[in-house]
Amino acid sequence: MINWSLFKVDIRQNFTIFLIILGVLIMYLLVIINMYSPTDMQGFEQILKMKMSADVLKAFGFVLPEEMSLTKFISSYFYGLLIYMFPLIYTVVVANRVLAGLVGDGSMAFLLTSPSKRTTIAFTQGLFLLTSTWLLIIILMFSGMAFCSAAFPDMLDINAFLRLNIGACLLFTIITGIGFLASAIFNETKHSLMVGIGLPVLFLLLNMLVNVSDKLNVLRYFTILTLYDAEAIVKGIGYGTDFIIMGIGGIILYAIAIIAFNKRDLPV
Amino acid sequence: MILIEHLTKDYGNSKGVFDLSFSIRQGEVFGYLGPNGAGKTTTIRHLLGFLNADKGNCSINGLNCRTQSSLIMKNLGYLPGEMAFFDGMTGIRFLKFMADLHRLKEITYCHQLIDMFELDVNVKIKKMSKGMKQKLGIVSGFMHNPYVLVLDEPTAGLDPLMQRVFLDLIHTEKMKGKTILMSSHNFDEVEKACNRIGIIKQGRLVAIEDVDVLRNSKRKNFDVTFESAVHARNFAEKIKCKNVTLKDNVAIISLSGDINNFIKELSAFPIVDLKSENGSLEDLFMHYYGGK
Repeated sequence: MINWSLFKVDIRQNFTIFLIILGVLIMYLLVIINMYSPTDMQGFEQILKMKMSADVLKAFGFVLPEEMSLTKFISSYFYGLLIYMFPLIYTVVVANRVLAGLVGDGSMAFLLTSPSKRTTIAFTQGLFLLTSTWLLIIILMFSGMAFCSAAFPDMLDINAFLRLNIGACLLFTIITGIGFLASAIFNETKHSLMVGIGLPVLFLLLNMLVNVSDKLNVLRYFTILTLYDAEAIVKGIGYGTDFIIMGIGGIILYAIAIIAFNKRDLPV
Repeated sequence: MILIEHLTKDYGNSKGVFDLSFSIRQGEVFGYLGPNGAGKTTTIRHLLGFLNADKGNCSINGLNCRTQSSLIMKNLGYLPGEMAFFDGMTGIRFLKFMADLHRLKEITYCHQLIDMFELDVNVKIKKMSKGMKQKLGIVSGFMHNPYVLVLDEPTAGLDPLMQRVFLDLIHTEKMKGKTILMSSHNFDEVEKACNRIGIIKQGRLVAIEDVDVLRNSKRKNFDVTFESAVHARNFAEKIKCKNVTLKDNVAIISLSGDINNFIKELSAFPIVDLKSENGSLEDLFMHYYGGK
């Protein structure tokens, strides 16, 4: 079912980009946690509003709740936009690389002429994409927890923070599912990338529009990002169905990708 | 044994392969020839199970190429026509990866092949020349000692010395009873390496023949300079050969098959000079390549 030799090669090939994205994510998270000040959040908001209009801030999900806890602060400044954007760079590159990239440059021929089944190859590649993305978020989560407990002991709501990150893992299950499916069905990386980048960016834009105007609320049904509602997750209510949809949707996409890859013509 | 039955894959614009049938016996080296875009690689891709046929099917040692490909691959070596490898690996790392994929524990043969082709495996693949990549492909295709070898233009990019090394390798493999399909544009190499050849054109097999038969049927040209034009004319009448061109005292005679009779008759005439020129298999192939 899993080809570990290939999995090891995947690790070696994607190690650098993993570290870079992880580094950037941790840096941003630490900077944001560092900006938190339990007493003077109004001042902080004033400064932000001088730089950007309230609507722009809202579009990006930077919404300050009335009573500002550390967890809420992190959730609105980091788990609104940044948790999506930076891992997305990693997942887009890796999703494209694990199948379409190998078909496009012909190295897939070497994998297919080994005694591994096509389904095994696709499963291994999908597993690498998914688990490495989860690992990215999990390491980030532990870094955040460690930094919070050093800078603001006992102020982080561990359960809520855990839910935010589990949600992020599920969100990326479905987002990588899209990228993986595109990578499995297209021969050329440019087509795979077009879908793999295009759809997630479209989701982001739609989500911004939904955030800005109530009139555009109907658009929320066209973007997966509304399934990841950081505010609701922190509050701990009304996120369960969304989580289930993201998880199951992701698994279905991966399954379709593997089946499609197994059936199709491969011009290598 | 490789069996292709009524294989059809239509890409439109008369590209693809159409109702292709032939078989390759065990222990046979089969040369697969044809102009660019004739369907050689498409055939090979079907044999390797990369493509779904529109009609027909192919099998290797009784296993269906598409559905049982992972079983076939345990005993198949493949050399792609276009060398593409995993980025950034060194040659040896790539070979170790391939050995892993083939669950190969013993890699002495791999090292023998590396030595045989004088390949520097510590270079990054990205920095390798075309010839080096070709050698690397050969090593990776042969190292697990498979029964069946599918080679897509195996000597492309190799220098003449290495081409000879490669032909020796094919000869050794043939002696071991391997079944080999190789596509090529090099007639000389095909003549030396193969038992049988098939020529494909616009997706259809236009000829399939034993190399020995072809070799015997190919024409030999003789330029004979006689002492005088009279002798030349007399000789031409005597041998009753249709393919004679006379030019003063020179006769150009083109023969196929047995030449003993020709030599016997010739010995009775006073001759100034005799040049012989072998018509190559190439002429024969060109006939199939070019003509409609």
